[in-house]
Amino acid sequence: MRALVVIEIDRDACVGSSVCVALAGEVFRLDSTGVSAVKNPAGASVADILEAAEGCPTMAITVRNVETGGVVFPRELGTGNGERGASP
Amino acid sequence: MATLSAELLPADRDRFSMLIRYLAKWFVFADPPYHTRARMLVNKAFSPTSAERLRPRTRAIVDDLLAEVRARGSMDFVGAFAQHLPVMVIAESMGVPVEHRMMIKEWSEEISGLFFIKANEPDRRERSQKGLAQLVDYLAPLVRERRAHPTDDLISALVLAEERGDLLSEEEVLATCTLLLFAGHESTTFTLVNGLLALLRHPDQWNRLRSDPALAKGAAEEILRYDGTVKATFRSIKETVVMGGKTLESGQRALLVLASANRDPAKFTDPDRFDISRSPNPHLAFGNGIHICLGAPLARVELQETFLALASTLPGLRLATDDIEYQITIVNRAATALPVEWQP
Repeated sequence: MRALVVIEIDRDACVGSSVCVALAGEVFRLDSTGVSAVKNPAGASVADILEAAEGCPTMAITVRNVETGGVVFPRELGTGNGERGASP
Repeated sequence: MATLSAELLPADRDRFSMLIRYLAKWFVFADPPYHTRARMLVNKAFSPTSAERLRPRTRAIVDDLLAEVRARGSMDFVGAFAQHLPVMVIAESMGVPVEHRMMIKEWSEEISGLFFIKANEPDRRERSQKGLAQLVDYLAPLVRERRAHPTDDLISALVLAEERGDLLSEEEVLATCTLLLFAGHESTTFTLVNGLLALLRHPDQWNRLRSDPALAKGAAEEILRYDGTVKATFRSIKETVVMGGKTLESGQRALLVLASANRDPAKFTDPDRFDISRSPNPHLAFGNGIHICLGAPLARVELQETFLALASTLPGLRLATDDIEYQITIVNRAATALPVEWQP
């Protein structure tokens, strides 16, 4: 099966929770240092890969559309911490 | 909890059988596969994305709590704020009535004696078991109620998962609820307290945050590194390993001192300096690996929102005393009170 997404892992952000492995074990594995690595980007449905990315406690997983390169996860979330300061 | 069972005499194992049975079902103390099965049922509810969805509600609770005290010009930050916010946020997410929070806090406090190792309480196991039994008795009817009438709260999600695939037994659901409710607020309460103390003891950093709210994220991380309340966690050694030139034998117990790692000069430049713009800041306040704190993203939101609100709504906020008393515990650092004052 052809991969529909490109999966990037921020190795510095990864804390080895292995949530991604629990949710999409055909796609992710932990390497010998306990950090997540991509085993097979076509190993699960895009929905399952997104579920694994969203489940990551440190948002270490970025998922891109393989054709456009556009980011599918994380989507824009209103995470800015400056919001409050900007309002009166 | 295997370690609790192992450290008790056989007669005590009978006496504390309820405590042992429930804590063995707390996924924080369990190995895979049970750990993974139970944690994955609630993982999504505590993801960074879910925590962001709780930010506006968290902010509203923060504002309500501060609105109650603002005109007074002084408060005990523990009693008036920090002991309320985290338990309110977790109770609301779970579907537990927030007006029962002081009861829940009392039982949690009793339970905590076991884990935080209250040095001055030889009867901490009895009290821990009693607190847990009371929390279970309180939650059981709520769980039954959600089974009959599920809503969109966390208890319902657990009950539905149980019914869908027999993933968790009824006792496992109850144990998981006690874990979430307990672990969902105790340590956040005291990290809020330690954080405000650190900020007010470093006026330069406090003023930086006041003038640049975008620093709130970094401030939360630095507070966790500098004085996160959970100073250490336990592990049981399952296989003999050599680490740092020492042999850890199978069957031994190890105390992982997170606080020491967080001041490691090999990892952090000038580790005893409190710097809210420290970057990178790879602290271990939430642990690491499969048992990394489930509630970390939510705790971060609570810390960020609290310090942003304090910085913008209480002018001239300062410590009212330098004489801070701490609970006498081994693995966590928790001030019993934090009197502060401001211009009302």
